[in-house]
Amino acid sequence: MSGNDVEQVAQDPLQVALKASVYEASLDCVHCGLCLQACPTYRVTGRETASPRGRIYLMRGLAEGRLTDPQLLEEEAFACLGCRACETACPSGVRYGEMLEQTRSIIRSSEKGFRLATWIERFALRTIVPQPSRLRLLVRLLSGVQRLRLDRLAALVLPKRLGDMLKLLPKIPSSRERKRMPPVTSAVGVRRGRVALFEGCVMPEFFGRVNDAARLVLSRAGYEVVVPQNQGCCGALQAHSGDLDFARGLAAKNVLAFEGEIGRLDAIIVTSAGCSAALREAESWIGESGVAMAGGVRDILEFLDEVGAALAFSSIPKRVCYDDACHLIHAQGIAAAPRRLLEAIPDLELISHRDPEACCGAAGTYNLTQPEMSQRILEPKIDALVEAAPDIVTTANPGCAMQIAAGLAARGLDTRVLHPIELIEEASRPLSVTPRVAAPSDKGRRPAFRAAVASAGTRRA
Amino acid sequence: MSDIACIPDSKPCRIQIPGALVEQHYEPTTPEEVGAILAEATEKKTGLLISGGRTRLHWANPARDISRGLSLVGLAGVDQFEPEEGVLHAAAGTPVREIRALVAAEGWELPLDSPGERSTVGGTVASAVVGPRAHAFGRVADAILGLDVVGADGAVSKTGGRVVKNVTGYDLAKLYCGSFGTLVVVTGAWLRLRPKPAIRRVLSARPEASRANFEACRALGRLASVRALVWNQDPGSAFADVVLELGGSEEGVTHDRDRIAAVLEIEEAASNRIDVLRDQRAEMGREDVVLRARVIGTECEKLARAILELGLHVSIDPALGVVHARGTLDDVKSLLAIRERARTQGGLAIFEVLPDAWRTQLDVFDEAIGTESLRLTLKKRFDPAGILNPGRFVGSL
Amino acid sequence: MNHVAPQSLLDRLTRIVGPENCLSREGELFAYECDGLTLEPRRPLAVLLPKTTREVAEIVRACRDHDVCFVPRGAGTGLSGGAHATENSVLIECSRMNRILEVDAENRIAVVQPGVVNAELSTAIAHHGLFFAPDPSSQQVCTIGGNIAENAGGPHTLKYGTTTNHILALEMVLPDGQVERFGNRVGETAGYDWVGAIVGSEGTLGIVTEATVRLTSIPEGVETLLAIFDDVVAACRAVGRVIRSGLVPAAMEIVDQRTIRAIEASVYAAGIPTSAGAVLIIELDGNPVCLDSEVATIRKLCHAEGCRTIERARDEEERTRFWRARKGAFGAMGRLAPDLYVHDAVVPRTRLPEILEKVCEICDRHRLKLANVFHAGDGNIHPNICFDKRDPDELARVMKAGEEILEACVAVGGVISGEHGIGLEKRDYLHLVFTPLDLEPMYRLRESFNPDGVCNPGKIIPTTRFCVESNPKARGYDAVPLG
Repeated sequence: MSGNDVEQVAQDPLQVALKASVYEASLDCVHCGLCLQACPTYRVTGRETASPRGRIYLMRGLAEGRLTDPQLLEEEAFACLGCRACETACPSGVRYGEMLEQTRSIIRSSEKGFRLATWIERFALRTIVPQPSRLRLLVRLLSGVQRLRLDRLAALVLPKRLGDMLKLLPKIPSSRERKRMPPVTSAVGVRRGRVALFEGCVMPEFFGRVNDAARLVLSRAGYEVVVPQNQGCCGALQAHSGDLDFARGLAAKNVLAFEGEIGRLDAIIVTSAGCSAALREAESWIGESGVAMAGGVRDILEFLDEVGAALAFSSIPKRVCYDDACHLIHAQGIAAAPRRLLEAIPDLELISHRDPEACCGAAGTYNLTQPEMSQRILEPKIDALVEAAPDIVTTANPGCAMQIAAGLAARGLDTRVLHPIELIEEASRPLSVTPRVAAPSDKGRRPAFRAAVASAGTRRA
Repeated sequence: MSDIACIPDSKPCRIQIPGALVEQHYEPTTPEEVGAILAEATEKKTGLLISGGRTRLHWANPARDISRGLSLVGLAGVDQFEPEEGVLHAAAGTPVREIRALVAAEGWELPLDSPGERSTVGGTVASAVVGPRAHAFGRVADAILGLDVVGADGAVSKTGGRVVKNVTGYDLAKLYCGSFGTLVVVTGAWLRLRPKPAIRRVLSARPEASRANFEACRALGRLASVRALVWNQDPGSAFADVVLELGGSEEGVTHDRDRIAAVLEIEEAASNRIDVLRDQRAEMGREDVVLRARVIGTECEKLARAILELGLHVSIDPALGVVHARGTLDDVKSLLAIRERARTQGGLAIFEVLPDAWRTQLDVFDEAIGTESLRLTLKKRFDPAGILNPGRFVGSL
Repeated sequence: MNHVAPQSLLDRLTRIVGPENCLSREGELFAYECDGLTLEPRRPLAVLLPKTTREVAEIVRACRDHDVCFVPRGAGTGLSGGAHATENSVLIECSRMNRILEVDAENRIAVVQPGVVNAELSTAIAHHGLFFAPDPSSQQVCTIGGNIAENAGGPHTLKYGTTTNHILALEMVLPDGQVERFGNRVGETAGYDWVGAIVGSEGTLGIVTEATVRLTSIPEGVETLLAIFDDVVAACRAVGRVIRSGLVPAAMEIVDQRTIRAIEASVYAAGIPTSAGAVLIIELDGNPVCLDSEVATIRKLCHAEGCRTIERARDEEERTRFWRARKGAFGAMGRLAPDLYVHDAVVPRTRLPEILEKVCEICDRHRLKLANVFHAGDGNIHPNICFDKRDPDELARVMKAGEEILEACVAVGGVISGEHGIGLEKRDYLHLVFTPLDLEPMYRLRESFNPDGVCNPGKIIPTTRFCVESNPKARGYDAVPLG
């Protein structure tokens, strides 16, 4: 029988909410299907309902009342990675990422009854992740577990998902290494401008060296780097889990934190693709007040390329793959800049691997909420990287870095996974400083960054 | 549907075909007359031999219960030619040679290279016969835009159209083309022309008949301006006669000619050389056996060698993997062996001429595996009384 | 007659493909209710996602045993509704059968499963210097199986032909559940041309489960030109001159002023002046030594028809920009309204100017937003009409305009489909081109494969039950109506 064209007389709240929010945007979709092959879940399953076109059709059907059972959309909305590769492929400019966020929010709001998994997720994302002190406590705990090599034992005891999470974690830097960033770093040489650094929540705990590398490179490029103190979590994870309201609150807090500085900044620099994409959505989340902050956001690699940072590089003779983080290439359209920067490093061989723009399956907390699909999507990515056989893999998002490193490790490989800024930092480092990140066999002294920066002066062009 | 008054009188003739001697035939001049003849034959269940220029009537399995002939030569002539579009409509009995001359004057050429002076459009379509220029022209079906046909029940119908791109309904023209007049009688065709090349060159060479030279020729066949490539070899000969016809722009032909000259010692040959080679294939010499075998390109040399070893002369397009062979064979088993070898190499073998005694032991045609029940079903639906060329086609259909 | 799949059938189907590949939930059936044509949706009873030929055959037999029809589907991007479910049918979705089984580069042959994506086949063989020539605009997602069903074309058919010119052999599950092979590796058989009849049969003769395809050498050189004309008639005449000159470009595409304006107003802007009457894109490929003089010839011919400018792409980026002026049409039009109807018809090339004028007149009269893009080299027009299907009046006008366009094309010697096929969309317009006597052999072909109409009934030609022109008894046998 053909679809039911009669609208429900008593409209159910989900239908009303969908109609009020995503319905108009869903009409942009002309059902051409060009998004299908860009979608990782479609490629793995072959199912229309696991594709953007199918998900949009479900949204539209529920909003119009032609479809009555919302259960499938509830599942598929969260089975979607939110990688937004479909937006890149779409000829009609459908704003899928936005629709997905709103749909997830509506679904969570209309959920009846208590679901443990949802509660745990919400608890973690509301109470732990955005609170630096609590997050640090958790991280210290995990660090302890790692150091005592209890992580493998714990993985056996804990529920599978938490156990997998433990396995995913990179080696947590020691608390001595996780030192705070200086609030201001002056420019090296002639000052070209002033930027703020967005730290994020996960980055300082697990990848503090990446933020530090960004700080150093910016200063070498002639920028004064400030780190505003009241900044916080960007809200990406919360928004993607369907907690848009909380995410909006976080965005508002960040707007306040950067407000004071915004007039005197060339940019707000972000090192995590997921965060920069979320911060750039501030306007659509909180309206007018978010415009200035959103407009000022730049990914570190985007920025260096844009301003034509004149850095003098020394040689890094390594074979390097660059894998596109979804939130950099699809959500922000940044693909060429990172590659240009890497190619500028002497003797660095940038080698291609198959489908660099394909999602790795990390997708924020997806690898924890949908572990099986996450693995299925990771497989071909690891195959491609193994085939290309680089010395180093680079990616501009922390979640991706963890996922890919775990995937390589599962194959018995210890290929280093770095953020491109780390290589750029090393290449632009004044020669007197050792050890080098890219040559783990070097046994050297702790780098004296400040001394090196101070002495570099105007020797470098 | 059948109007007895429409059927013209039959005329005497003497047409010997495998399995029958036809002594009366009809020569209608309109599709309606064709329809009346067929409708009556269906009603009376009398088999008909459908013919055009009679170039290839021997190329068939033994006929079954054929009493009369239906000749299409009375439906002849090009009734629409559109030089601006590059399409034309011709009645089935029009000699292909006539169309070639007509379109050349307007800068076109007909991509049908059927052998024989008397070869007609209808006969070419029914037998899907190609010549050496298949290399550039492709298959007969590729040149057909639409067909006018008459069914065994006398119904006049058409398929396709007169435009070069068309997915309106089933592609019946593909079904009719190569069906040897066993599904319908073709009375007219819309044909697609191709531009006549700016210049044409024919080259010949006489290389040693080695595998290396053969493979080199096969590679040369990929050059864009090569329209025909023929490797002729006699059994026991150390040399082969190679003829290439090039066509295209001055630059393209010169470029390719130079590439060929680097591989073979070439000479200019008569400009009609390929036509001569083509039309020879329609001539019935004193051979007992004439066959066309085809395999994938990389296996062609092996096939050719095997056929030469049987003592047959070969005329090959190395790039297409087509081997025409003629001569005498002692044993029907050798023919079957050639077919078997061709099949294992992704191809087929068709026996155009063979001793009558052998015709009961094998099938002249080679449809490829397992489609017999569909074939019979389709035939039954199109020709329930079995009046169209009964016994002559694949599986003695 | 079933409105819901019988549980025993679902159980059996689940045993064949596994529970995650047998879809029957409301939302799933809903998502599969249409393909690229969103009009006339219909939910299937179930959707199956088989992985092997054997599974397809078993599904077919299971359906037969339960008197249920089946409809094959590829990526669901077809524009004539060919993959819509029919009454009492399941969909057999081939997307999981996506392996390239074999590539014989030397002989330029590949063997693929029907779910292989068109562009991915070309990508996979590119390192051999080969590609799969048929390149429909949806090639990033459409499947080889779908291409075979529709005899798909694309902008490059002018030189390379359509899908039917590139299929050598097929394996198919017939409507009776038997698996049959047709054709061979050399693409020549001496019997009926089954492969030729199956290509373009829109999935009504059976389900293709494997295809042996012909591969083409990637041309050594490519040149892309973009010419701007003051009016579309001049552009069409320029195309005519090119064809008469003996050149065979790989593609010749024209985009009219309405389309240019829609594209330039959208994010797909390619920098074409909106005062331009028409844009003509010509692509030449082949031996590089010939290309310079071919480009010179084309320049001369375009100027002879008064073109304003003609540019030659200097690099890949510029080539992409030129093609955006054509490919952006779909996206640009898609953004103007919720729904987009991409029409498809063919006229003799020389009649293009008058038909374009007629199409504009028809759409203006029906107050519809129109953009014209067409494959000028082979007379294949694609009027793009954007509308809102929720507005019944607008929808009616769109359908009426479509009918008038088809009638106008047929009146000048054209046909009603060049690429999209007949499917559901144009089944009731076949009579514009074919008489009942013309359709009769089509029934005979279909019924030879599909005597009881279980395979994709109701597509291309009406089923025997509904067909008023064709009396089964007159054909000498009784057709068995279904359900």
